[in-house]
Amino acid sequence: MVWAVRMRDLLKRDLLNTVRWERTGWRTSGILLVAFAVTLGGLHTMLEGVGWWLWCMVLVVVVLGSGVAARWAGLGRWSPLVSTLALAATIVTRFAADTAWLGVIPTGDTILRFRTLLVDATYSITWQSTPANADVPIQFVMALGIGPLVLIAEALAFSVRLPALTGIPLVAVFLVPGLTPDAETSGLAFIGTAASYLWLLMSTQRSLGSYRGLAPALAIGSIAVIGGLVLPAALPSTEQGITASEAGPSVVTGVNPIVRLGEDLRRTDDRPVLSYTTASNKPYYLRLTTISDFSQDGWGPEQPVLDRSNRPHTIPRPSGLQADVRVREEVGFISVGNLASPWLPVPYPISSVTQLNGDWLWDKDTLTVASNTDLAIGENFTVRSHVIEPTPEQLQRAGTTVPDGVEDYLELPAVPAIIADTAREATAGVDTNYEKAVALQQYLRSALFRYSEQTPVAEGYDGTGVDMVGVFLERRAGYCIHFASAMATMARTLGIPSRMVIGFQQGSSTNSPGDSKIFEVTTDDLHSWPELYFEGIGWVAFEPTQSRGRLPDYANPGIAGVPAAIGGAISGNAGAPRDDSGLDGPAAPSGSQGSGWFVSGQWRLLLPIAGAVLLVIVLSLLPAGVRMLRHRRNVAGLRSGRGSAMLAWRELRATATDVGLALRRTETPRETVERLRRARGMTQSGRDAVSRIGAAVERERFGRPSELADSGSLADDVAVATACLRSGIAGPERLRATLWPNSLVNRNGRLAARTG
Amino acid sequence: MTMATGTMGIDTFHSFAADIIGGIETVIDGKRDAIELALTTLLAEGHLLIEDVPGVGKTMLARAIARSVDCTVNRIQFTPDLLPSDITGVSVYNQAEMEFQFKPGPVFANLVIGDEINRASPKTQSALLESMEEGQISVDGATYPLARPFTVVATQNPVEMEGTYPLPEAQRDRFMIRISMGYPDEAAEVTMLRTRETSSPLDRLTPVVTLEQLTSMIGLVRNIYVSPAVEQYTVAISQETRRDRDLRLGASPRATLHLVRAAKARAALDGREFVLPDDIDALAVPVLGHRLIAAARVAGGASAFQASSIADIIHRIVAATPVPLGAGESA
Repeated sequence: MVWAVRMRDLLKRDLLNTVRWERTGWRTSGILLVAFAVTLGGLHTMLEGVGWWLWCMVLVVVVLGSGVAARWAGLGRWSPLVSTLALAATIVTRFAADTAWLGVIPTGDTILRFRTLLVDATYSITWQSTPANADVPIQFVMALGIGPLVLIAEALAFSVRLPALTGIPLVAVFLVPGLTPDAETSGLAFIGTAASYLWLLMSTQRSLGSYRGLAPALAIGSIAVIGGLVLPAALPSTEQGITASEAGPSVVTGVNPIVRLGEDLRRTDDRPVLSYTTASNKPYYLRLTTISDFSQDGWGPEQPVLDRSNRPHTIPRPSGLQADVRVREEVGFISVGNLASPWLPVPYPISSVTQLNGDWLWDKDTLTVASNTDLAIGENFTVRSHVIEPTPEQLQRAGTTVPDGVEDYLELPAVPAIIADTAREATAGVDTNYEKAVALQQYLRSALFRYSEQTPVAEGYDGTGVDMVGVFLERRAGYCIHFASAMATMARTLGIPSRMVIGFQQGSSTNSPGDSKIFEVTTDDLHSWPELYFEGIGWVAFEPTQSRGRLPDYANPGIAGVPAAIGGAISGNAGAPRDDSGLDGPAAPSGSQGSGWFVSGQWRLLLPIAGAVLLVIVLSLLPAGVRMLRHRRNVAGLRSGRGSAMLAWRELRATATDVGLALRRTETPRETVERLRRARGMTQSGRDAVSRIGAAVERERFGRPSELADSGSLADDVAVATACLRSGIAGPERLRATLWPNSLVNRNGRLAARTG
Repeated sequence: MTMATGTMGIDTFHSFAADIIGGIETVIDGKRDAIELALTTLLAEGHLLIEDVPGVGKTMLARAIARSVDCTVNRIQFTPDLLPSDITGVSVYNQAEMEFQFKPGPVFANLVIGDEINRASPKTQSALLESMEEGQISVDGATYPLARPFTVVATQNPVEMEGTYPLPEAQRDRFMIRISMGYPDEAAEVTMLRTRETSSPLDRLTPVVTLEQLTSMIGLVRNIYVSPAVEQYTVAISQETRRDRDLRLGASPRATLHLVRAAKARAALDGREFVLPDDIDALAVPVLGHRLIAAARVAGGASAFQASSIADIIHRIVAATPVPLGAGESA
């Protein structure tokens, strides 16, 4: 009575034709579209506006739509290729239509354009605070990131037919804000993502005619989601802490930069703050603000006197600078990223600052540039400055004279005796202010002192004020703020006008494509240093902090003419400079984070990628492992004779499902046997084995309960039959069958419409 | 229902069945499916409805079955003027014994061939059909049991033909299986010409099994095992026919019963001692096809020629019904 079976097959084929539209999987694609729409919406904590979202949705629609179209046209096998081409064409058209043939086919110029876009995007990402403006380069990077994820989701849902795993790309998108500094994961987006994912699971399961098998799908899904939640927390990064503490984008806020400075330095992640180039390709320090009132317990920045007429287009030459002092005109271009500071990072002394967006005014005493209304974030400006390069002789000539007008910078409250004592000891035997300054600097740079960002906190003297300076001189461990305030305070006890500066050390250069070097400044470059006043020259910076920054030529005892440190308290190697500042170009920053923003930036970019890759690897190996264990357990059960024919049957069906044969729950064992016998790779012995297993299972399931078959002999049949089935599939398909065994998710067989 | 339960083994059964089928095949060329279904009906104690255009061998099949089994056979040619008593028999006054004596009608036989049943009036039709269901005849207050085994093989021309009274649904439900012969294929038709040239092959057909042996075979069929899984599967299909939106009338409980009984016979014919879901699948259309009525929007009615849409619906339902393979088993 074969005709009944044959007729049924014919009928099924008929049904398939009438449900051609169903076969396109448009419903699943629609749910995926919604899922991505919701999940991408979660990126709103990182990006401003909705343009980027619309653009991403265009990509999602292109990928999913082309997949649907391909399946509709009967090109189901090729849908990943079609989707990939459609995605590539969309990206090319959007970003490089003018470089491409017919606006679609990429050329060499397109590649160059893409490279430029990538470089631009790195800058854009580095400089912008969150939420960032999704400019064209960022949209390009988003296309490169989101597009493949949608492709993966599409392939998982249709080509691999494991819709449950689409949770992985969704979670990857969902994770991005969690792994990005300062961007928070949106709880709403999480609920939305999870809900749409569950919807997808329910829908794909229902189309199989039953909710059975939902449990394993849910299990895989929840592993994906839970993994997504746990992963950010498990990553070796303190970014989580920053996000949690709601530090916001500010590195130096207006409250008290000194307190923040310590915190920022102790942070293990260093985040880009700004970058600059100079005409001479030489780096310089950038000042934010100065501290000159040492009388308070906690030192704070000076309130700048902001005269509305002091627009920084032109700033006169600093007072007290004599004509014979060599001054090098420098032009720099500074691009401020994530720096919420009311002070502008500028070198000293400036002569003009142009192309500013905000309302910035300069202070005539300190030559700092500040604003009452704007923050430095996002400013890109050109700054002209005079780099003062006094010779040691000129500095010597200043002697010990303190000119009128700077006496204020000598004022000290009652200071602990140790400060004046140490200053005297360190400068014993030298006369001029210049010699004393170098001696103080070298004393603080000597081996007596230790650079530590943690000790002051641990021992309770992390702070400012003359008392703290006293403690620092006893304990001799601290970071820049301690070294700078110690030198400034000691200088005042010796009659040298001094003030402290808060700003950034020179940063590190990158290998930029052009001739000019780009110097990148990160939070690790936050710095403090003293400036001392010399008659005829003005304010001159020193670098007393060990292992940080760069010694100016006039303060480097290694340079001819600069007085060697001869302070009595300094022993041995005290005088040796720790920085080879004589070299042109910047010194490497001291942080342990690597030598440049690019490396650190890459590391930061790598975190989410590595996490996602790890997640994918673990999750993709998990099914293979479970399947292998199940197979072994089944075969062992059969060999020991404990198992039933049903066990052999289950294993046979599972293998068939793994290799891509669509077995339905509505099939009778006999029909299944018939199909398996016709499967690719079947040998005669394989066919016989399949028939024996089928007969055994029929007898066991439908025969009289007393007639149980002996299952022991079925172990070999199972081995033969499954080997045949596996040999019937080729390399990539076999890999997929091993890595993602369909049988785990889809033990019921799968959507009949997809088998055509 | 005192049926002698035969102690016949499945192998003997199988060889007898093969002999019967082989014999009938010499008469009806190339219609093995129809022959098997007919034998299935006989062994499952059901009644067979053969529906087709004239001249394709409906009566020939019925008579061939009758000849193959050594049992009593009666043939009734249904005509518009046939009366119910022409079937059941009448009570005649016996003057010698001074009482009414029952003269059994043609229905009193193991195998009753009702030719062109739809040509008789409904009243006459129902006389036969009631006897089919009840296995006995009541005439003038007396009840007369019919022979055991008792099988009616009715032939019917398609309803469109002139002068016919199509069987109503309730009557069709009493037939276990409906088959339609269909035209023979070319080779079979040529063979037929050759074999009929000299004499009717029917004459050469000799009984293969005795009535006793047939009774034993029927007893064996009754003892064929039906697992709970198969019962569940059958009921699921029946239930689905009642739910399906393409069907106006679903399968009756009697249809479910007939389906399982026919499946038992089919399993035995296949040499198996238990019923498989495949038996149910294969018999779903022959057993259910004439009982279901399509909803108005589905083209076609109950006749064999227009039944293809009904068959499609049944195939769809069978194809969509999961085969139960035991508790907790999803594979």
